[in-house]
Amino acid sequence: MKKDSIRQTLESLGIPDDLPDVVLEPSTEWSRARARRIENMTRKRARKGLSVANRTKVLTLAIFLVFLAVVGYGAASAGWQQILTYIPGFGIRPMEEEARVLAQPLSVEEDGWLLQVSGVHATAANTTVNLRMRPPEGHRLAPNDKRVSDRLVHRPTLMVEGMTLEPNSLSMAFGQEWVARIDFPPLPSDAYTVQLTIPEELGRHWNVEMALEVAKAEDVFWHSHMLADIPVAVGTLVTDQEVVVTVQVRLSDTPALTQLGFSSLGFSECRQENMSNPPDVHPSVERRELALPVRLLVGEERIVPRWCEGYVQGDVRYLEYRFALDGEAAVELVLEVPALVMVEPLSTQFIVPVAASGSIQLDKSVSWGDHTLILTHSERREKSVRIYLEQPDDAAYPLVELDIKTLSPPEVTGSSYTTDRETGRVMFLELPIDDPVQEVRLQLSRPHWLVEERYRIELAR
Amino acid sequence: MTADETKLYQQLRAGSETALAQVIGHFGPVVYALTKKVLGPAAEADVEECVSETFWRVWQRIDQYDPNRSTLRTFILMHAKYAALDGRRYSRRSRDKDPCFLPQAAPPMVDTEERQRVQHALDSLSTLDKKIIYLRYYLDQSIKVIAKEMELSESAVETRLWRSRQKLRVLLDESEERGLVT
Repeated sequence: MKKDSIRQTLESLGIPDDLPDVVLEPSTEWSRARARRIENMTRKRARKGLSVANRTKVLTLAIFLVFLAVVGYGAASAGWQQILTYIPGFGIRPMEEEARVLAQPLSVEEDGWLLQVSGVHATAANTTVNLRMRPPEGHRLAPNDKRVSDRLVHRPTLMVEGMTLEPNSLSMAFGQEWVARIDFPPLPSDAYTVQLTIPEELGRHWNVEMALEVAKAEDVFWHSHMLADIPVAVGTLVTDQEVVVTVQVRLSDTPALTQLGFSSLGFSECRQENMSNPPDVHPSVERRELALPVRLLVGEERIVPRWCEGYVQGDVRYLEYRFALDGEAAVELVLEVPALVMVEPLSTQFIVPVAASGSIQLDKSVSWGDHTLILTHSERREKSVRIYLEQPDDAAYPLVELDIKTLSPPEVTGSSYTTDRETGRVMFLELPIDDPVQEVRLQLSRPHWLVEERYRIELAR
Repeated sequence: MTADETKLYQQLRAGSETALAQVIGHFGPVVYALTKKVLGPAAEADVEECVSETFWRVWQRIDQYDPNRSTLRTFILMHAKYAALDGRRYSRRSRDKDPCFLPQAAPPMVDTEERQRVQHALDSLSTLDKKIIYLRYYLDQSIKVIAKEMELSESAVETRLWRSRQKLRVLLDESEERGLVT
């Protein structure tokens, strides 16, 4: 019970019998005429079996039937079969005609340097190759390395059936490694083996052979959710070895400030070691790259993605996560989605009384923008002062990190700690003050908020 | 459930449109008031559409109603709430442009004992706090709207909600331990 929010508890109980008496004024607007109108509308629906919610489905079906009639059942059926596919490195997406993809991810190591080809997507229009190059452990990419990479003096090429294909365009991102997405002209229609050559790049010559196969339609299930105010579509695909989750966010549906968090998505990526960090201080928040770290919970066990990647298609931002998961015949998973929401910087000031020793009950609330902090108590410690606070369960965006400094005593910088990792709503502020002050005047500010929403998705395996 | 409600329920199950009209006449005012409250400022036609949706859902799902668990009124109000929340969401999203946003289903109701236990805890709150809890958690009103309606500051509403939740937690934990059924 303690872990459940009150909202969940109350929700599951349905509507209390006395709710109308407590909350609702008797409607003076109800009339016989209105009753008759509603009765007629309801009767019509009851006869047609058509609800507002079903209208969309019916409309979709109608459009599909018209489509069938226009293009013919055979073609439509084929199109339907090809509607979705999963392409590693490109995510779950509508299937292109005659798409070929990398049969197996490739990794080649040389002198501690690692070249990975994470995905290939070849259509009649073009061929895209995703790759990344990681230096040996301890080696940091020198500015010179970056400069060379940036220019890519020696451009990668594709060799296929005796032809050499030069890249049309190349996009890159840097970090501890460099990541590239390279667009080439289309491959010959019968080519299933291609050689990728990266001559003399970063002092190394890479030559890898890539096997391609025809992309297959997959059993992708789509779920739709509201993430705070952001509508997201979540596609899940379960294979024998992994669970692939693709979160799709349409920028035009996203509040303007939050768009900042998504707009920077290009080649944002994270590896397992990044994702194993606690969710409340996710490194991607710092880098503002990956806006939606996603975890899966299997029972009590939290599983971090072994791979995740962001990519862009027009107005839509995709975030793809791949979780290694095998063993169970059937599992029930909880998908957690904490989202970075960029909002205006905010700051507030308030005074907190401090005891000479021990603690003082505060039970005081502080309004901060659209939010409220409940200051529960302050505590005098040996060399510091702690101020405990909670955020209401129904706060839209729980705070996870605060910038804290004091105005009195002057210029003491504090830190915030989340004590309740489950919800992130219980915190204390630690201020290194050992003077015998009776009160502290605080200024809080924060660069961003984190939103955390959870929902359950059942995955049959 | 009263004898009248039992009769209405049986007739609804049998597919009687006359019973549907009686249900609308009987529960219409309270469903209308609740829908209007959840929808907020909405056109009259939208409210009526939503009320009609509620009764349509009741008509469609009357088989799911269990008279041993709740009254017919509770069952109808539950559907009214969810129909209204769906309506509000549709109007916010404008627009039906994304068919992904399917209506949310009403959650399954828990058993009568549990309901009584929670109702008992809710009854221990002051009328004002209870009203705030209902507005916030059942009708999904924003803090701002509640503050305006109750003529309180938003901060006061937050604080009252917080205190009420603490109190409910304690009461529910205690009653769970004692197995209290009132």
